[in-house]
Amino acid sequence: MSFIFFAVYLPAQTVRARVDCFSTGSYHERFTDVFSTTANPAALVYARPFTAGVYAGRRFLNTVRHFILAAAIPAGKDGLGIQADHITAPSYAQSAVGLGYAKTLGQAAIGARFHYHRIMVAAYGSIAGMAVEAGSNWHITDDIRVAMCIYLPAGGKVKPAYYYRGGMAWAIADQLLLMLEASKEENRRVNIHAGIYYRPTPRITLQSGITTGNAQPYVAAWLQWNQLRVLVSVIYSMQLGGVPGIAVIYAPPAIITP
Amino acid sequence: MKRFIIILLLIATFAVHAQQPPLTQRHEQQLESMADKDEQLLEDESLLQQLEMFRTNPLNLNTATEDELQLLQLLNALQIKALLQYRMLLGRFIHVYELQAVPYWDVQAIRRILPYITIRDDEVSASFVSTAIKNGSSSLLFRLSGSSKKPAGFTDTGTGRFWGAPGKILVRYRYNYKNFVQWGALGEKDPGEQLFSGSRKTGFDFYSFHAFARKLGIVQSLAVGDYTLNMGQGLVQWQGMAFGKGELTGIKRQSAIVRPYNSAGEYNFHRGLAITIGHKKLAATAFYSSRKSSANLSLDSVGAPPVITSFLTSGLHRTASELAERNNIIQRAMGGAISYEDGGWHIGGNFIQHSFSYPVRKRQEPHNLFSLKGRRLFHWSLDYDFTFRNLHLFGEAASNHALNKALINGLLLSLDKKADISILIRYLEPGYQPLNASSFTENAAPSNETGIFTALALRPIPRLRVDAYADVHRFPWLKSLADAPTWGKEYQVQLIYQPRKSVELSTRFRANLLQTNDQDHENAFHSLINVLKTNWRIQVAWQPGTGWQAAQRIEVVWYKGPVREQGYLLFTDLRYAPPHKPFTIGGRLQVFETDGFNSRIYAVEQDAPYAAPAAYHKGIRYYINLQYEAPRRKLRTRSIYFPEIKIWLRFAGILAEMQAGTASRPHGVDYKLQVIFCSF
Repeated sequence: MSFIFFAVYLPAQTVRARVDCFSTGSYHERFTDVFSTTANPAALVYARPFTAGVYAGRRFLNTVRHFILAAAIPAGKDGLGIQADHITAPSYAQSAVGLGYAKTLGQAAIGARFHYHRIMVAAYGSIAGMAVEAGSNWHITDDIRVAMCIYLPAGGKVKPAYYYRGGMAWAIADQLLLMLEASKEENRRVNIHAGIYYRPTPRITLQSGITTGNAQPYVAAWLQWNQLRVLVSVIYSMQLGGVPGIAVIYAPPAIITP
Repeated sequence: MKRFIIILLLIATFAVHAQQPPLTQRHEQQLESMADKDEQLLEDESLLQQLEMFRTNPLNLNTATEDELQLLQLLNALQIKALLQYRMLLGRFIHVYELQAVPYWDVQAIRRILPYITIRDDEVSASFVSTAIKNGSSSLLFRLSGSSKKPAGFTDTGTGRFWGAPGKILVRYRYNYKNFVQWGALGEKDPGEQLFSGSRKTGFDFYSFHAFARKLGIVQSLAVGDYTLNMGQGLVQWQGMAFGKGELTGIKRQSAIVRPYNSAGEYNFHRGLAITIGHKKLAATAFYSSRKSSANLSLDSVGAPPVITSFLTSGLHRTASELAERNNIIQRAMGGAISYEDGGWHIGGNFIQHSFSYPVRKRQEPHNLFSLKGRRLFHWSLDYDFTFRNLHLFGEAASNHALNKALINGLLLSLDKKADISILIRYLEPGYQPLNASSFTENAAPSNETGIFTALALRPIPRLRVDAYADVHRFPWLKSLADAPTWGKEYQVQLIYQPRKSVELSTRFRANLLQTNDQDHENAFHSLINVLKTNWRIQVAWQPGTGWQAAQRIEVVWYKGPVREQGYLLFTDLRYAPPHKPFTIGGRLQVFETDGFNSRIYAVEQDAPYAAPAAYHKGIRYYINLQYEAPRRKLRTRSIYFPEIKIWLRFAGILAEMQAGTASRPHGVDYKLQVIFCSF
C-alpha cells in the first residue's frame, strides 16, 4: 500500500528534471551540442559530426545528484541519439534511457524519442514505465527558428507528468543566439524561459537565462580544448541557493560552425 | 551612404526641435519607479538642475571627463569608456556627426544627449578665478506653491495645529561658470511652517549654502557648505539621485564623489568641507561634515541620555511636536576615498564614519534586530571597474564595524550591434546597515538582500528597441510587514518603436511578485502571502505639427494579494512651444479608476521638482503649465541689461474624486508660480 502511495506522488520528481541551459542551443545548428538534443529530439539532425558527453549536477541542497549521458550520431542528413539519465538521493533513485531519431525535411526537422523510466525506493522495490517525446524545428529564416516539443507518458506503472513546450530563437549573429520559450507541465503553471547563447571567442561560450516558474536564473560557461568542451553551470534558486553542474563533451570544433 | 545621410538629417532636424526638452521616457519611468518606493526621493532636484545646466552650458565632448559624462545619466559605462578611448586614439571630434562612429553608440543614445552636448575646439578651464567670477551667470529663483484646499492641520486647534502659513516658498540663488565654479544659497519653508515668526524669526525653516569648484589645478573638486557624497556602487554612501531597474544605463552607479547640493530636501546631504585632489592617475578625497538634524528621541530611564529611535527625513516642522524635534541632534561624518585609474580599469577605497550626539537604537522589534545601533558607525569598501573590449565589469565589496559584508558585482556586455546584456549579483547581509546609502537593490537601503538582475536590450531593426529585465531576490531576515524571510521576482518587457522621427510607440509589461504578511488581524502570528502586481502600458508620443508635442498613455493594473484589485489610468498630454516665441503652454488630462490603493498607478508630471503622484480610486486629474521666457535685453542708451526672466505657472488638481462607496467630493486646485531671473 505504501508503495502505491509513493508511486502516485512520483510525477513531481521525474528524471526529466531538465538542465535549463541545455535547451537554448537546440534551436539552431550553429549552437547545438549533444546536450541540446536532450531538450528536443529534432535537434539530433544538427549535432554533427559524432558527439557525446556526460553531465553531473547537484540539486536540492546537494542531496540529489543528477547525471546525464548523451550521444548524437549522424545518419546521413538525419540523426540518431542515445540518452541516459540518473537521479539519485539517499534511499531513492530514478533512471531513464532514451533512444531518439530525427529527420531533416527541407526547411524543418522532426524527431522522436522513446524513454524507459525506472524508479527505485529503498525497501519498496522498483517500478517502470514508458514515455514518448516528439519535437519539431522550423526554419522560418536562416536566423529565426521556431520549435515545439511534446512529452507524453506511454504506459507502465511510472506515469511522468506530460508537458508541451514551444518557443522561438533568433540568431542575431554567428556568435549570438536569443531564445524565448514557454512550457506547460501537468499540474504546474506556464513557465517562460528566456535564454542567451554567446560565443565571444571560438574557445569560449557563455550562456545565461532565466525561467519564471521557479524564478531561477542561470549562467553557464563552455571552454573548448582540442576535441573536448567543458561546461560549468550554476542555477540560482532563491530557496535552495546555487545548483552547480559540470559537463564534458567530446565535440570536434567543426560542430561549432558547420 | 544614403542611410548615413538620412541619419545625419534626422539628427540635424532633431537638434532644431531640441530646445528645452521635457523629461525623456527613460527618466520618466525611473522617476515613477522611485516614487513607488519613496516619494521623498523626488525632492532631489539635482538631475533637473544638472540637465538644465548642461542645456545652457553644453558639455564639450572634446574635453569632457568621465565624471562629467556620468552626470548626464543618459549613457552607460561602456558608451562612456568607448567615447574616451575613441577620443584618445583618434583625437578631437570635428563634428557631432562623428559620434556615429564611436563603438556602442547608436542613434537613440546620440539623440538623447544631443541637447546637452557640443563639439568645440576651445578648451575652457577655471584656472583663472577672476575669469570664473566675471564671466559666469547668475540665477535667482522664487517659487511659491500652495493649494486652495487646506489640510486639516490648518483648522486644528489641538496638538496637530500647523503654526505657519499654508504656502510653500523657495528662494534660491545660484552662480555658475561653465560647470566649473558654482555657488549658491537657498531658503525654503514647507506648507504649515512658520516664516519670520514664532520659532522661525530668522526667516525660513531651511537654509542651504554651497560653494563648489572643479578643475582647479590639482584640486579636482572643492566643496564648501552643503554637498553630497557618492562612493563606489553606493554600498557605503550615495546621496545623489540614483536610478534603478529599467534600461541598462541604470545598473551601474556613476557619479563624481563630491557633488554640490542645492535642493530643498532637508535630510540627505552633508554640510562642511570636501576636497578631491588628483595627480596623474591617483585621486584622493577627504571630507568632514557636521550638521544638525531631526530625529525621534526616546528616554529609556530618568537621568539617562535619550536614544535616537528614527531619523526624520521629511523636513516638515509644522506642529508643536515637529518643531520640538527640529534639529535636535548633531550628526557628523568624516572619511575619505582614494582611487587609482589606468585607462581601462579603476580601483578605489572608501571610508566613512558617522557619529551622532545620542546613540541610535531602534524600537525592539524582530525586524529591527540588525538595524543601526550605537553612536558611531564605520563603513568601508573597495570598488572597481574594468573594461576589456566589449565587456565592462564593476563592483564593490563593503563591510562595517561589525564586519558584516556587502557585495555587488555586475557586468555590461555589448554582444552585438543589435544586443546588449547586463547582469548584476548582490549579496548584502542583514547586519550590514549603512546610512544614506543607495545601491542597486530592491530594498530602499542596501541591506538584507541577495539577488540577481539581468537586463537585455535588443535592436532587431533600426526603429525598434526591446528592453527586458528579470530580477529575483531574497530577503534573508524579516522586514517591516514581513514576519519571516521572504523572496520576490520582477519581470519587465518593453518595446519602443519609432516609425518616424516624430512618432514613438511603446508598450510595457511588468509583473512584480513579493511576499508580505497576511493582514488577518485575528491571528497573533502572521503568515506570508504572495502579492502579484501586473502592469501593462501602451503609450504613443508624436508631434502633430511645428511646435506641438502630444502623448497618450493607457495603463492597466492587476493586483492579486489579500484582496484582488484592478484599475486603469489614461492620460493625454499636449504641449505647444511655438518656434521663436517666448511662451510655452502644456498640460495633461488624466482619467483613472482603481479598486483601491494597492492598485495605484504612478505617472510623472512636468513639474519642479519632479512629481509622480499616485492615482487611485476614481477621478479626473489635470494640470496646466504656462511658461514665459523673456530674453536678456540691453537698454538702448545705457550699458545696463535686463536679466532673462523665466516665468512658470502651474495649476493642477482633481476635478472629481470618488472613493468606493462614497459620493464625489471636491478637490482643491494646486498652484505653483516660479520666477527665475537669469544672467543679471
